[in-house]
Amino acid sequence: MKKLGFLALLLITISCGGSRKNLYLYNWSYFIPDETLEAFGREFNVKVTLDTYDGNETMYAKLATGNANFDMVVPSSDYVSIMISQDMLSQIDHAKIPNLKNIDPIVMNFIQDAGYDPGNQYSIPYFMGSTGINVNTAFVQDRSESWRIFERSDLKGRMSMMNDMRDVLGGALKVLGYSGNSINPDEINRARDLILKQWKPNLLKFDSETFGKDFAAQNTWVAQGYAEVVLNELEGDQKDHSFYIPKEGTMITLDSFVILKDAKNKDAAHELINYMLRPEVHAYVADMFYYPVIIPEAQQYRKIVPPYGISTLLERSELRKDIGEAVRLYTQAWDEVLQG
Amino acid sequence: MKKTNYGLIYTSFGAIFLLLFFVLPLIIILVFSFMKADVNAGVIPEFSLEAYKSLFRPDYGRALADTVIITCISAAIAIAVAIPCAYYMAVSRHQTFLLFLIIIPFWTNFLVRIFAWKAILEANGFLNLLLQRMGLVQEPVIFLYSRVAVIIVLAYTYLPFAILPLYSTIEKFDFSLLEAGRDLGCGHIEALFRIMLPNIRTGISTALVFVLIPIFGQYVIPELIGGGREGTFMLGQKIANSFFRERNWPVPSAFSSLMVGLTLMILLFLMNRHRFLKKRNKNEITPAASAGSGMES
Repeated sequence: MKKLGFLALLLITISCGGSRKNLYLYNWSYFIPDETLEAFGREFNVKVTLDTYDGNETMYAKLATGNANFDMVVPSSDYVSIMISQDMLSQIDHAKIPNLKNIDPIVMNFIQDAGYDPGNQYSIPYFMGSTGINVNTAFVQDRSESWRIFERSDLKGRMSMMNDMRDVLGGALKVLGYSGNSINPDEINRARDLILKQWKPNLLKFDSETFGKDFAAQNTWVAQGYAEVVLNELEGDQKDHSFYIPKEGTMITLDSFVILKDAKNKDAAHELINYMLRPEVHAYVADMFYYPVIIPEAQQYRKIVPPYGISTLLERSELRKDIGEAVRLYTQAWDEVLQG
Repeated sequence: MKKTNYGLIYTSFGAIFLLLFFVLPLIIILVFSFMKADVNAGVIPEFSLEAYKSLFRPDYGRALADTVIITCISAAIAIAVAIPCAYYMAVSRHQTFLLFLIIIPFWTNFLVRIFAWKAILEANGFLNLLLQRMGLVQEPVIFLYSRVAVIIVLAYTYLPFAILPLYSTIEKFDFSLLEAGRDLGCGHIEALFRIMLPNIRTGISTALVFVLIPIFGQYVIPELIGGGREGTFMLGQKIANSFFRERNWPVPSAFSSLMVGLTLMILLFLMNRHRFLKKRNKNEITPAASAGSGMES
């Protein structure tokens, strides 16, 4: 999901036509296969122009500086809530998205409970997932299913974690029994100290860009991160790969389609959202990136078994929410983790 | 006929371009640094010194200290390696070819070269394979993700920027001065240090400017090679983190303004020194003058 992208934007213009509608999509890199966008473009006579980003932060900074010209974005839930509060989004017309009914009611209820977008007025879920722990079973025996694997000094220098403050601090908070969305300074500092004193001494690095490559090259044997990134690097060779969502829980990222307030082509945006929620399209994308499906009907079209399903995720983990001003506490704590 | 001032016309395009895309953005950054931060990015247009106050937080102090240490060591290494290289190039018969070799790495993207270093230094990398084949180590040594690795890659990356100005200075150096020194009883090495080194000081200070300033603001190398390990975290990363992750604009603006100011000061100092040295060189170290002073003693 979140793969290498750097600041250089990869601009792919899919096919050219005469009087076709234009749709400007700003999306995560490797989040919708090119051929899926092409098929959509042919069916609906829309020319989709794709720009990619490597993180919500990058996307938000670009939109906040106000010189972007996109119709649609795919932010995670915490950023959906910020963008709603900043009045950046346009209401979604549910009548134009009949496939919305395909989404698992459990997921829809989960969003309602989270409360960041009541009634899904502004955002339509696309995929949900979480980082977890990738283990190379050829080198490491581990039945703990716990974040505590990072306390094992016998694996010193062979483990990596994401350079993502919400994910790693969130994990540490949950290990300590707090909420991963805590805004209590003491709890955040205790999580920071747990990482600094217990985990970091055994880590090779904090890295969200190349951890998959390093795991595939066996430079690391334990890598906290997205399973799909690792599986993609292993090119499907799952022999020695095991992945688990730690029992203490993780931070769920739920990425949703939103339409920007000043979008020029809202109709085509609705069409794309509806298209992506077709069970067979959803299954194709999920297979491509090893994601769990959020559309039950898509299960029958699947060709691969994903490393985890949404039931494990919902049972153990917690949605990543916007934490408002506390983001300062997190940034400072995280920089101290990187410095110490 | 009235004489047209072509100089003004010719430079106006460049001047307007720089004004629009260089000076104006810098002014915006400076203005933002004196404003209040909005929680969800952007600024609230009210005067505030909050951003500058937070620069005194210990985590910023730590980042500044680490940045200064990393910058000084890697710049010193780059210059120390560059001087003999530039000297050899200047005296070599294959000057053009050697110059060409220095420029070749620029044909490859900067990021690709950093990843090449990762391939060399990583646990199953080239260097470890070599050491294991030679029987020097049993278990792979972890070179990557440390301050030393960051310094090595920084010194490597900016080496050409040190070699080129040094080469152009040393090339103009009158090597007969060294012979004169030796005639007067000075050893070869001593002659290099006492005659050549003072004469290429302008080259050294230019090289320092070219190397120190970009290293000071580096972001990519400590991010990819440092991996968040102790003592590798630089100001560039701190600025990026507060801008992107914290969505705070005034604090990174304040730090950027401070860095631009600091860089400008170093630059002005080195430029004036440069001018000052030129004058002194003319008076002192022409061949005739040194020969003359030799006679007197």
